[in-house]
Amino acid sequence: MTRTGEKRVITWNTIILRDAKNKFIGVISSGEDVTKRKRAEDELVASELRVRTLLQSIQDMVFVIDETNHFSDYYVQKEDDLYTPPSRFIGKGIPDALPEPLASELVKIVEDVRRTGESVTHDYDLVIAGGRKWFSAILSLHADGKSVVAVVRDITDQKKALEELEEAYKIITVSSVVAFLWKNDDKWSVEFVTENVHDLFGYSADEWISGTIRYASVIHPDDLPRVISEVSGFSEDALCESFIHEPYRIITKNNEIRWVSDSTVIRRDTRGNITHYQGVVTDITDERHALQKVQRERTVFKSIAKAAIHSEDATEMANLILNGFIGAMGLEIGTLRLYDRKKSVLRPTASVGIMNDLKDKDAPLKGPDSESYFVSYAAKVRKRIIVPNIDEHPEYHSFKNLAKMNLKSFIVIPLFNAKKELVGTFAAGSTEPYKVSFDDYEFYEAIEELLVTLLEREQTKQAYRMSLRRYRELLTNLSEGITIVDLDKKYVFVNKAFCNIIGYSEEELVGTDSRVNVHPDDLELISQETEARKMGMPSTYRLRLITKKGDVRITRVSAIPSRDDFGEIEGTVALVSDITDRVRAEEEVKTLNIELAKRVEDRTAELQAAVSELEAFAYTVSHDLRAPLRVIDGFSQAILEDYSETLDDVGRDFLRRIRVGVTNMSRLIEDILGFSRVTRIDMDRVDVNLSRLAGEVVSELRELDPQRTVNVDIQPDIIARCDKRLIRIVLHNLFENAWKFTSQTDDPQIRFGMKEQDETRTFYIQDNGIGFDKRDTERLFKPFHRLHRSDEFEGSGIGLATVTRIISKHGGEIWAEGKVGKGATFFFTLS
Amino acid sequence: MSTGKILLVEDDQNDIMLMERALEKVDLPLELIIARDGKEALEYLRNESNDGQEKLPSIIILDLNMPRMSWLEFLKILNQDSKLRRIPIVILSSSIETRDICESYDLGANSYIQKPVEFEKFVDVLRMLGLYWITLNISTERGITCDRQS
Repeated sequence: MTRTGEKRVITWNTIILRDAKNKFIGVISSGEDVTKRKRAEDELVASELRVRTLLQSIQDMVFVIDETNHFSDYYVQKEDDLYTPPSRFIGKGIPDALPEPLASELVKIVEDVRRTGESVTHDYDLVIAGGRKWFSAILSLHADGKSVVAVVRDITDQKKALEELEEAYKIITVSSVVAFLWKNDDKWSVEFVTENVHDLFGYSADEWISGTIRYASVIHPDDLPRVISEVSGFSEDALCESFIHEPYRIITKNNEIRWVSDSTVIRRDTRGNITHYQGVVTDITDERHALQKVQRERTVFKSIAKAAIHSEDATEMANLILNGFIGAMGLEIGTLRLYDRKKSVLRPTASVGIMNDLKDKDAPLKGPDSESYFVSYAAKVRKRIIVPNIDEHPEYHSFKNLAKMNLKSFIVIPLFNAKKELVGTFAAGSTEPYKVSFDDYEFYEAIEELLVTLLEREQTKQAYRMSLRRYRELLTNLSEGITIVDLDKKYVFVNKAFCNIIGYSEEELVGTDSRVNVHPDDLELISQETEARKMGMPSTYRLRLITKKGDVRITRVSAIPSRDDFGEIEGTVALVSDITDRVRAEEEVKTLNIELAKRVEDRTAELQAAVSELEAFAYTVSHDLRAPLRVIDGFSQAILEDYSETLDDVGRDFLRRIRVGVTNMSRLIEDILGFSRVTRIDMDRVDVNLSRLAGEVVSELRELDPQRTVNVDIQPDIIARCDKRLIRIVLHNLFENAWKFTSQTDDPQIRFGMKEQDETRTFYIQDNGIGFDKRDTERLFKPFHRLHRSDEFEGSGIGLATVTRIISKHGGEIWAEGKVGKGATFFFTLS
Repeated sequence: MSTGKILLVEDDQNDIMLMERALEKVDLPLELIIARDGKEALEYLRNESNDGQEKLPSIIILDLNMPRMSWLEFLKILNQDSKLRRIPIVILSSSIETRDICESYDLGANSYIQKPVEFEKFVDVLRMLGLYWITLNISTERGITCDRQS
């Protein structure tokens, strides 16, 4: 309708243009007001009388062809429109006025019109004035029944527009955009469609135009009602000229489902009735899938996030995630299984929509049972298996469980970790076919990656739980007591050993205040220790605990702060050892030690007393025993001198014997004193030239016994660190012995020397005297033992005992080697 | 050669007799004065000192084992007496205990000799003592007057 309220008929040609990526870039539209033309046609047909009047008002040219096919008249508003002077055709026959083949065609049409009386429209082109012009002629029978009137219109502009349109259609044809011209009938039969319709719908343009296939029948039945309601909705609005459908699905000739977008222009006739719909239809399946994928992934991630946030339990989490996947994929059935390596089975962790008698069953990887599980098969072949329709895969019919669940389409993804080890399986499916598709491969890959991560974490968790269990077992069975106490001093954990110490069971202790079991005197200590623990300090302390029976147990506690995952101190872990017995034993030992010390003291005092007594004895020996001896000797001498005449030889001999006895006893006393003095004397170790000392000793012996000739060989400059006075006694005794026991040897030899071996220096005094029996070796060094009769060799038997004492006082050793008649060698060391 | 005086402090009659007999054998101009214990010896010495320095003995021979007054006490008293402290003292004892020896010297003894058991050796000891202390040694009793010394 125009602004003035006039109704006009307009032809609209609209093309939606898209680029190579099928993106909408614009619309080509051409419109033409055909109102006038229509009216003229109508009127021309209606009444001949009004022709002339009418002719003047129309833009078209009118030619009259007489019964002999000659141009007899014409009408034109402007002569210029003819492009040629009227003389060129008036009065001339058609073949003369027009070029072939147009002339023949026209003659044929004119004769047809004359014979049938029906109007015929004929379009043709002519080369006029160097340019090609297009014309449309409507040929009708004149009222006289012989002449034919041709109303001719210059449609060059129109034709050009159409050519352009066709060009555009050509472009459309090579694009994925399909242009349709639908009739407004109930099945939307197609009047025109671009050739590329075949690519999208599988049906050729001919199939459409011929009416073999109608548009409504290819729309997905689920979407058709919506599409219809959209069309009728927009069509009701008389002012609506075009609209865009919500994407809908079409089913191709190959039964594929495609998503399309559809932009439609409504074509109405002069009376406003809708005659046609013209539109462009684009395949948006890929976009749609991409969108769906995104939505699905969103659903999956949402479910994972939800699972991660809300579930503490792994099974619950697996269930949530599985549910998310299944939902996002538009499936109904699914299981997530974890591979139990030890038992070689796939154990369900989560399942959706699986009947109860199958739900919890392990799928074995080995044995005859494995044959009925498709997941086991997939795990064994290590392949992702996608089955859009099981009916196309008879080889899978042997899997009983698939049939049991009536699965038509399904996917099984065996899950492998980075080391290519099986961790589990994911299986999902539907009782309807084509619910899974190879197109979703990427999505499945993403799922696989996610699930592997999830299951690996689950396996790690299980391993962690197992090690935790092992730790717990270890702690529980440890022979030392273990307690874990929280900051409120409540028992969180106690082990068997601790229960044994305290006499309460684990159930009685866990959750109760640990201070209840602490000796009242140690409560202060406990609160100090708790503070120390809060500062993060470990410590070891002694704690008295009260057992269930009321006994006091002394324990040694090694406590360290226990921290949570964030490093915050949450309590105390303590190692508790019952040291009651040990402490008591220690106390006993202490008491015993004190007693022992006292005893030792007593004994020492006794010993000291004994030593003092010995000293007193030694004094007595040296003083009191010598005095009587002196008297005996002095007076026997006096008798010998004063009463010699009154005594006979025997008497005098007796007196002499008395005096020898006195001498011997006197020497014995000296030796005993010397022996006891050696023990008491304090050592003063200095470097002593033993060789020189030996020389002095030998000189003394020579002086005392000048008649004897003894060959003495002394190794020069033997230096030793020792007490000079004591070592002199040693040398004196040993040289004296050697001197004495060589008295009956023909060529007496005495040698003093030193041998050094392995840093040990051994001194020796060797003689070639009478020697001794090997069996007597030990007796040699004991006091008062004499190997020889006193009339053979003088001696008290104290000398070597004294020597032994001195040597051992120096930390050395003494020993002797000898053979009867072959001399003796005395060895000694000084540390 | 004037006669030397020897004060023997000895309680044992046997030893006194043996000493007298030994001195006879020594054959030196010696006068032997016997005191049976320390008190008696002090009494004698004090009496003698009253009569003049020259009356004091040239040497005191002291046995360590004495009744009534210990030899330690005797030596201390002697040491404190300005008139008697310069008389040479020879300890003649059967004991050769270190303690005895040291204490004797600490208390002013001039010599320490172990009494030999054999009579002949005893005679030798006395001879040497006489030779040294009476003949060689110059003591104060021969008219030498000393100033008081601490």
